[in-house]
Amino acid sequence: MTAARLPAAPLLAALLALALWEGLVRWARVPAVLLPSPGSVATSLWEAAPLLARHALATGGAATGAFLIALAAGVALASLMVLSPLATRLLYPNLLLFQLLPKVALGPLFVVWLGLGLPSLMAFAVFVSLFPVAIAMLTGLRAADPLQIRLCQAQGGSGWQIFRYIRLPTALPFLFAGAKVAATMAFTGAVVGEFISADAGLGWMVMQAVGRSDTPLIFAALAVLCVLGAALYALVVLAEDAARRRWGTRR
Amino acid sequence: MPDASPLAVEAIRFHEVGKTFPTKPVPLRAVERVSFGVARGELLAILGPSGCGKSTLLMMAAGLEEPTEGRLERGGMPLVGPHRQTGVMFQDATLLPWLSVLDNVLFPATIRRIPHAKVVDRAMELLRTVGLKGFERARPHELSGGMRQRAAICRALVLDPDLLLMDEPFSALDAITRDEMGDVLLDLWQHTHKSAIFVTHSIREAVLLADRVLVMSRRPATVAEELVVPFPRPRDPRLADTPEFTAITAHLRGVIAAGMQGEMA
Repeated sequence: MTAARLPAAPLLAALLALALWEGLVRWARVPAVLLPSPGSVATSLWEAAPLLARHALATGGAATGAFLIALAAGVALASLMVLSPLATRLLYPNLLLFQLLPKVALGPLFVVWLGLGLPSLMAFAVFVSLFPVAIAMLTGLRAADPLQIRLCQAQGGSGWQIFRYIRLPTALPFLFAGAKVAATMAFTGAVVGEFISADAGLGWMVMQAVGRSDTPLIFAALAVLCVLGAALYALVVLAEDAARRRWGTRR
Repeated sequence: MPDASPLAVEAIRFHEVGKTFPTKPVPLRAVERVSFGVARGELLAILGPSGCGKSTLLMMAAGLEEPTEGRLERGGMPLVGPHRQTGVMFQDATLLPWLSVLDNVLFPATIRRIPHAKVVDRAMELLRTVGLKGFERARPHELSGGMRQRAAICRALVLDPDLLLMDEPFSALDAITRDEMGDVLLDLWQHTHKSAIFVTHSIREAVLLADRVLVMSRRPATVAEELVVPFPRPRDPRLADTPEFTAITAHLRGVIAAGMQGEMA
């Protein structure tokens, strides 16, 4: 019974906060340009719904696409580094160095290289979400139990078989941890990319709304972004649950 | 039971085998030119203090480490790399946690690209023999330590190897489970007559299970003593309580202790 009531608790807290916000804004007569009331944000959401939906589709598509590319590229990069010691020596220190970089600062560079528009936006979103996947996957592939590897070798197992039957299953939980980070990073990347170089998407909409001082619309776009980000994150969690049911282990 | 015929080819033979690991700054001499063989059907125990290079001997027998000097013969042929007819067991059961018990037992077939259908009957039969019938679909984490090690025995035997290599296979278990596993092994043993090398630091276990015991010196490993266990088979675990048994274990303990003192002097 308590468990059934639990999900309602944070929802209740959020509703309370919204009510408090609404009350404060009305009581202190805060101008909507500074801080719109939840009510006016809701109105804006309703009125701009078709527009928001169109731009949400652009941002959602770009972020999801970037996420999937980052996932594939990150897994490939990590696998290459585990299968080839030379690749590790060449790439790993550089990967760590890039990881330390404030990657958002490199956004404008992508515009220089790829011009304004979707390619530079996507490239940037992939760039920021690639590292969490690659690092997590690499850590997972390297976490394989040496005895399990020995076991495989004792049967004449090849390097590929060790990878396929030992390293890959070991890395799976690590990969999902990395994918969760990457899912949020892909949205960050897509929105920042839209700030810099786009003519569509929620990030672009926010910039337009800033120009028109339409703060309720900014909040409305942010609300849609929240939902989009949560949706992609939820998909990753669902995939993780499915994988755990299929190959699940309690470690 | 050792095959006494001089014409019989040994399951495995070490010829003057030495092993040095190129560690830094000082290379590690693990094994110092040892020579011994295991007859077909013989159970050989290698006894020695921890870290004396016993495991290195076993890894070389498994084809997982190459000797620095000397050579190994497996069934009369030079040993190059892991042999198809060799089963291995480690200190830990080393079951793959994401596979079912049955899939773990079938794992050697997976790696050897042998269709599961060909060996699944044998796998089920082995699981039944060690008392794991009904646990085929279970995951390793649902089993106790002893049950996991039994599954590991089944896995080592699934491809019907003629040589079994065991590296302190029961050392991670508690004393009672350990005795029980000895019984399981002895039981399987007496029915299959495979050759085996069994590395252990338990004197009791070595004398109870083996046909012959090699006592290794401290590192680098050399054969300090060779002892043929005089007890007939089938053996009963109660054998360990007889004065004859105790006399042998006391003697072996003395040999090991002498080796340790030599080290300190």
